[in-house]
Amino acid sequence: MNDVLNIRNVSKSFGDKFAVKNVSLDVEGDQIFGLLGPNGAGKTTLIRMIMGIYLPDSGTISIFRKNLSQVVDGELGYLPEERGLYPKMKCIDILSFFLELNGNSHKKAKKKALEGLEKVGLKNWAEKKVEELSKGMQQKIQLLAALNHNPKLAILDEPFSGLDPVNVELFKEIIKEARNNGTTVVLSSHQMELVEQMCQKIALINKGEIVLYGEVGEIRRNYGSKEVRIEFGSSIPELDYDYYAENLKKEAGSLTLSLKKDISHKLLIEKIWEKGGEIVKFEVENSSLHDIFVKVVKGEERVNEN
Amino acid sequence: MKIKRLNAVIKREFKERVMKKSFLIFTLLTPLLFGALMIVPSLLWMVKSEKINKIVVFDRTGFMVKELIDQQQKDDERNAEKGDPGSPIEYIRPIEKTEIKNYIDQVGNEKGEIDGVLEIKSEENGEITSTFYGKNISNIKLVSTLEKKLNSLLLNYLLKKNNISEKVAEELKQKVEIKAVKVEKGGKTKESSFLKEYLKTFFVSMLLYMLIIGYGQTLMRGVMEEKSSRVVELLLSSLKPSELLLGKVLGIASVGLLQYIIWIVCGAILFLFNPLNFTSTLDKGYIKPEEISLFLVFFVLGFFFYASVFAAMGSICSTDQEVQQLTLPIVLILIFPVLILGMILQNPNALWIVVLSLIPLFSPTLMMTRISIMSVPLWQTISSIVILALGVVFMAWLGGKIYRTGILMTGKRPTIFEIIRWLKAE
Repeated sequence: MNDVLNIRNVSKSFGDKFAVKNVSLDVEGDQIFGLLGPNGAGKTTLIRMIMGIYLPDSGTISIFRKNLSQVVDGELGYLPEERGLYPKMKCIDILSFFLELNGNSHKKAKKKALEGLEKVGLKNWAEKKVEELSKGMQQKIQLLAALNHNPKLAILDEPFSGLDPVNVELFKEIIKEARNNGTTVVLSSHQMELVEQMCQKIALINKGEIVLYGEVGEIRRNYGSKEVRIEFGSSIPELDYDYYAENLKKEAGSLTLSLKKDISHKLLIEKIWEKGGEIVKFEVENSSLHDIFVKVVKGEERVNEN
Repeated sequence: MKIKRLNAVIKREFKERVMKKSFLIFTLLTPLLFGALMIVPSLLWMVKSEKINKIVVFDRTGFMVKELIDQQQKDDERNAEKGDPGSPIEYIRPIEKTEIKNYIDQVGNEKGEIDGVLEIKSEENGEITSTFYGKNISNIKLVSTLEKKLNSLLLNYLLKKNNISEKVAEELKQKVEIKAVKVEKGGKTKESSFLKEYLKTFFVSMLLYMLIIGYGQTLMRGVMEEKSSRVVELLLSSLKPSELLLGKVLGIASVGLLQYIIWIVCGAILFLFNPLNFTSTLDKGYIKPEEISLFLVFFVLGFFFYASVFAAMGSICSTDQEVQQLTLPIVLILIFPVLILGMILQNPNALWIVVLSLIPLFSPTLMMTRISIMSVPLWQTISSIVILALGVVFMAWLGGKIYRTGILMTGKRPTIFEIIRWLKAE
């Protein structure tokens, strides 16, 4: 296996409050991994432990099967949730500074910094001080500081928060490009659509614990509802619908139902055709990660209340 | 510890500080201040006040006032020949039957013409006493001039009264002036004066204090800025806290060194080429070479010692106000030698001063102050440096621990108990 990040039974508490409780997860290479969870779920604490800023109370975190202290300069990239740059430094200088911290020579750092600025359309701002930039521009610089040195693993904490739609697209492109260039990305977000579009694998954290974990497609299959809406051109054909589905709702010319497990869409459509039914529209209500997220988090709360 | 990463931090700190206008200003202003401290007092001494002091003389002895006025006339004539304005005093006899109180009131009146009232009395035992009522009695020069004049007049009067010949009188007026010569290690001698010694020592301890406090606060502000701008989290993802702190301390210390080197070079140029006859006011050996190097040692070690303290403070504070509260005790400790400079000058070998100059909290400024006054025994200098170096290591451990935890804390300033808990934690 191409192990990039392995977290085993990691816990961390502040005072008597658990921030992260017995979390285990694996991130494989060359993918974008999504860390989801409501605010205060413990995402940032987990990320800070991955970056070695906090030490876990128990459990182990290994990166490239190594201890964090053995990780070489420049193998990691980081976009912290709390954005921050030296306000009085020039954009070009601050980027080369971080490139140098990550093992580049001064000359190479300067060149790469300029390339990065060009990529995000800030070439003309290279000699300007960070404090003169707008918030969106500062965030671009911050993203560059995380990805510009081509790290093997980049941890991006809420990379899309506070961005306008145009810049969200730009950030998506940059992050995907980094993945294509061999950077494994772990990003946290609570913008589900974005995670759904970008990530292959996710972990949903709630109250410090992992409540959902796995491939995005698999999660959808297991947790999403299988609601189907069928519109007919003719009358609704006679069929033992209850055998295939439940929650049946008949309306004039349309049918809404949830397929039972093991029953595929294809099977239902074939059965309807056999009975001479004319299907005008067959709509699978694919429940989004958002719905799953809400369902799981709310379900948890209900369980806890009981 | 990665040298490359450390280098990047040192370079960044150095560049940021040196590029600032305040660096240029401070670097240029300090020598000017130094020059002013050296030259202004002597200038003040030399400058003759243009204004004529009008002094009303109440002479109860009956012989002094006439002599005073005659003498002044002679002085004025002599000075006029030399083109020297002399000491401009005009003596006025009081209008008859006017009470002294009236004149004293006039002195108090701001628009009044009279600057002072001099009362000369004969006591019953024959002693002559005098009181000067003046607008400005801190004008030492005026009072001392009056005193000198009265004494010489009195002497003249007494000599005449006792029928002593003029020749003997002249001989009696002779005075011995003591020239102070300071003996250095190895029997070297140099002429000096209290004022010059005082100024030099004051300047040395003041400069050291300003450098340590100044650069310490620069470090503290840097730490606070990294904390409040949150950049520290990004930094700590590529660096260990110890590397970040060490890099900052070394970067700022090298700014201080650069500044010191600039001053030394400027000083050397002034001494070598001597424009404006600069060196004439200073004696050779006024500043000893070992003073220059020891100053450097005490600055660097003192800065390292206090750097840990400042860094720890910066890491637990988030507002300027909090910081100011915490800085005050450090300012007081460092300025202490300047405050007690008088005592140190009188007896730089007093036991308590020797002991304090070995304690790291005080040693950077206090030992340097002593070194600039006298030849401090070698063992004292060395033990002071060694103890200070050990103190640096201890403070780096202590401050580093607080810094590491404090830098990522947000919100309220931690209590002293919380800090003690951090220190105990591994």
